[in-house]
Amino acid sequence: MAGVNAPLVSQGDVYALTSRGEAEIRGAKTTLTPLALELLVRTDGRTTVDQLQASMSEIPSQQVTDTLAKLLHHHLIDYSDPRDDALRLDNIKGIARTAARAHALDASARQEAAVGFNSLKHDGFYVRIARRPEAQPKLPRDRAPKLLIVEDEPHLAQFLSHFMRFEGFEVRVAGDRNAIVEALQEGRPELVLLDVMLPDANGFDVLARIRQHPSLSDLPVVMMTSIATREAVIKGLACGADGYVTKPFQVHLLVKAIQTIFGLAHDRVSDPWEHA
Amino acid sequence: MGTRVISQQDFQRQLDSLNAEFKASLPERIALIEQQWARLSERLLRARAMKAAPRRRGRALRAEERPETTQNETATLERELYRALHSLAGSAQVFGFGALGEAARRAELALGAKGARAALRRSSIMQQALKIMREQLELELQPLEVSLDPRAVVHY
Repeated sequence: MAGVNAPLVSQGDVYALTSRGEAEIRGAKTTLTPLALELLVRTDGRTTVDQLQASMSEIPSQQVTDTLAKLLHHHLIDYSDPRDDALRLDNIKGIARTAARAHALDASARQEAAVGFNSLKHDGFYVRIARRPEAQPKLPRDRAPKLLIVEDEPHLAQFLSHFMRFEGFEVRVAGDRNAIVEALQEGRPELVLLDVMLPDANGFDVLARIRQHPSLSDLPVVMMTSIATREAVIKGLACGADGYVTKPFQVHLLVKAIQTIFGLAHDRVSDPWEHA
Repeated sequence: MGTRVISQQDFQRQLDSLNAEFKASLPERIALIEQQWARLSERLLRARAMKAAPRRRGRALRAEERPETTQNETATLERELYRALHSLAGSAQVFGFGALGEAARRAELALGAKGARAALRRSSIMQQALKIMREQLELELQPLEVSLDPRAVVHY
């Protein structure tokens, strides 16, 4: 397919959804691959192909181009002139289009939740790829990165704390709502590991509060959950979780999830019990 | 990821000590879960009996018999037990107590399941899970006796 269709797609091209494309992402059932669906959702009549590739840096550029070519071939997207977009947004069609995009995002969230759910079942962790490269969090070079562990089970909290300290993090542990607030007031961490079930709070509510806070809204948060249902994943994505790790977790998977969030290569992480 | 400031040996020592601490906490935790379940099941049975029995006309309900009191207390007990099971299920498997953690997980799911059918099965699942948890605990706490005599049987 790449050989035949790739020349159709150029770096500076801009695409818009066709009515068929909109119907595809609104539909409950789709036969598209997650990447194709992700590209459909990101197709907004303004973003160029190279911007799309940059925003999905984990995926090889050629794969993005090939998938776009396939979408073009099946008339799910079409060439668009971005100069028309401002005009279109002013008229009724533009408003209808914005509403359609809201639906599309729902479909995207559903699809991502399905992918996330399967990944959780299969791999024990899932990290979403929604962040753009410029928004990807970076670890500080001049000091130990700060990590907030929100976990009320004391042994598990201590275990995570020892492990993440060994991995070079400066760790702070919070077991309830007050401790979370106190820890976040003391300083912004580089990452939060957040348990879903806390004695006096719900992890999803805590996440929603973090996302609403002006200076914490982009704070990377990994949910630690034993409630790995599709609904829980949808809820987490809706609240803006960056990743999920199922409990009981294997530490190397947790580290892998964290490395993915920071865009680091996956080092081999030894199982701490293997020498015990 | 960051710069490691703890040596592998110190890290290992920390984990070993934490593992021992977790193991030592298990008898108390399981005993508490057993107590919580005994209280909850007794309360559920009493509630069912009260619902079935005809009430004498004219007699005011005692405070502990009022539906709102019993429902609130039952809900609190249920919540506490659910949390204890959830917490044990999440941590036991991380510390290498796989079967015990799995039993706690099944009990947690049985307790959290909704509906009349689930309620009927809850009691037997809880009993089974508690039995497995107790057996696993005893197995873990029993010292391993190994004889140097190759003809001897290894007793666990």
